[in-house]
Amino acid sequence: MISDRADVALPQLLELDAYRRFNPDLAGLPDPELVKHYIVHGEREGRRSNALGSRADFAALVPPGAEALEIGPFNNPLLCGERVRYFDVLTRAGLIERAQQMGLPPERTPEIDYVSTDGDLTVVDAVFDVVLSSHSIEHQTDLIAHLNTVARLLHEGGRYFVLAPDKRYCFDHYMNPSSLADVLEAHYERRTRHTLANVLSNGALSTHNDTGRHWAGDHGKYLENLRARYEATLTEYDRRKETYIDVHGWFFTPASFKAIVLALQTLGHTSFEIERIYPTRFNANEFWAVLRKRSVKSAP
Amino acid sequence: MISEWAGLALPDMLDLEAYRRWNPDLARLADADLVRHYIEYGETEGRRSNALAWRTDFVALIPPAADALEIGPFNSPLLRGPNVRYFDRLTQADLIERARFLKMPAEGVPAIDFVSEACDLAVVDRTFDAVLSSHAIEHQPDLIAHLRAIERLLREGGRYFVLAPDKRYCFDHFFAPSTVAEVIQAHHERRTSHTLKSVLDAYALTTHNEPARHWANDHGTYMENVESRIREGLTAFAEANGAYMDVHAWFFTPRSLRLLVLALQSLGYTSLELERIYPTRQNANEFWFVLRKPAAFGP
Repeated sequence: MISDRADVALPQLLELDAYRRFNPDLAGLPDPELVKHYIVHGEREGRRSNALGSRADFAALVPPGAEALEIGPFNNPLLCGERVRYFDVLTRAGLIERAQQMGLPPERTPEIDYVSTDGDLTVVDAVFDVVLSSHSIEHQTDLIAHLNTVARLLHEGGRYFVLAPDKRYCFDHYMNPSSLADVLEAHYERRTRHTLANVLSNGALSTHNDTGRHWAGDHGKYLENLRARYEATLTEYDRRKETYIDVHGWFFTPASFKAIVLALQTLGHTSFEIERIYPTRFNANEFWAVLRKRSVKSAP
Repeated sequence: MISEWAGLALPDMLDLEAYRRWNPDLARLADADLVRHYIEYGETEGRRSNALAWRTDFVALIPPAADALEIGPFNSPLLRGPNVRYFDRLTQADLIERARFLKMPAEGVPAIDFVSEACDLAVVDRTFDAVLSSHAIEHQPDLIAHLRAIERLLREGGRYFVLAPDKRYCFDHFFAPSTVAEVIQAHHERRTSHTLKSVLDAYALTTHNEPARHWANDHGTYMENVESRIREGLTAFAEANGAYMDVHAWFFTPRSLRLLVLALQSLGYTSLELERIYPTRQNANEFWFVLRKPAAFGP
């Protein structure tokens, strides 16, 4: 079944009219100069270059008529509507309780259609036009398995909308972008727990999470309180030996994410193609990507 | 036992007179500006900033009278003399055979005093004033275990002289510098062979090995022929079946190495102190550093 309900035109990465409109200092530049400006400066400066102004705009690219699955909405779903289904690690009641414990507003927590305490998407027994996840892909222990599972939940031509932290502008600032070899190793190991290196990175090498400060070039001190943080993390790691510790397994920039997905595609590890990557905006800490499940051309 | 050479003076990373002499364009800068120049530009530009011009000058910092161990000399030892001992994976006869097999000159292969096929330094049953290794440290599956083994071979105040590739200027260009978290994980796993990640890095994600091109910002194409190279890496890894494959496990820059040693020290993984670091020179692909085993002060 080929998904056509989701077949909408997505904004280009760079739309010249919008780039001019939202960047008055560039209004006088002719088109070729504008393109050059975006490539040389605009992307790195996080300038707005198309119709998308916020993450809500990105989520609104999902057409209301599409059958959609949102992964991990917790107390704050990005998609709403009668054709939207939700997957999470707890039931609605469980999520509400958790939100209350964390001092978060529980009102918007949706009814969860598919629950798996260990985040196993194979419990979902339907197929969708769209899957969306926000700050979830970087937690997957086996990224390739995750992409393959999501692909199975999509009709041909269906899309996976991804919102992911840009490691440069969040507490992951000092981490190295994950390499293709890391991603492949995790897959061949069928990794289901994060590595000690990832747990230690998260516990002992992470820095502040103040996006504005990162954009201003203030990344906090590397290796601050290393000893105390290291010891606490290692104790926690040993205590929870066999259980899943929820940390970031992957560190992306828009460029590194693109390189990894392209390589996985070349290697035949994913049927996803990159349709769009919208780089991180000024004073934001996430980028947005749309992956599209290749439609297999049917024989005449 | 305290090393007789514990008090040896090593050149500073930045020696102002030498910096002026070797960089005529800076001759007129006042001392304070010269220091600032080195910090802001000189180090990144790979300018010569002290008496050391070549790797041979670095090696010559080890006094001939000192008891020294060279790790992995193969067919071209850096140290020579009556007080030098050698450690390698194979005996002299086997190394000569290997050099011939690789069509490399075999005359330089020294008599090997300590042989361990598994590269286990524990076979060395004495201590030294100096240990030296060249392009060996980045191959150690468990870097912390390696440093600890070296520590045991050194007398108090003794030194470990290391020549290591700067990942920015060799085929490792596209890799991220190794983090202390990765180094600790390898140690907790008591790793004795390389991971699939390291093997895939080496087979599929390395680039050209011409330092001058790297210095000229020509780093080659990332992920060139990635598909066939990943397949070769996977096959080689499977065929090795857990046996040691000789690839780089660690990627350093002078700066990342400094932070790494500081972190390992503060976490109690090593007592070795970073005494000197001599950053990579223009058009070279290696940097040099000296780790020192602290000498306990006697009464």
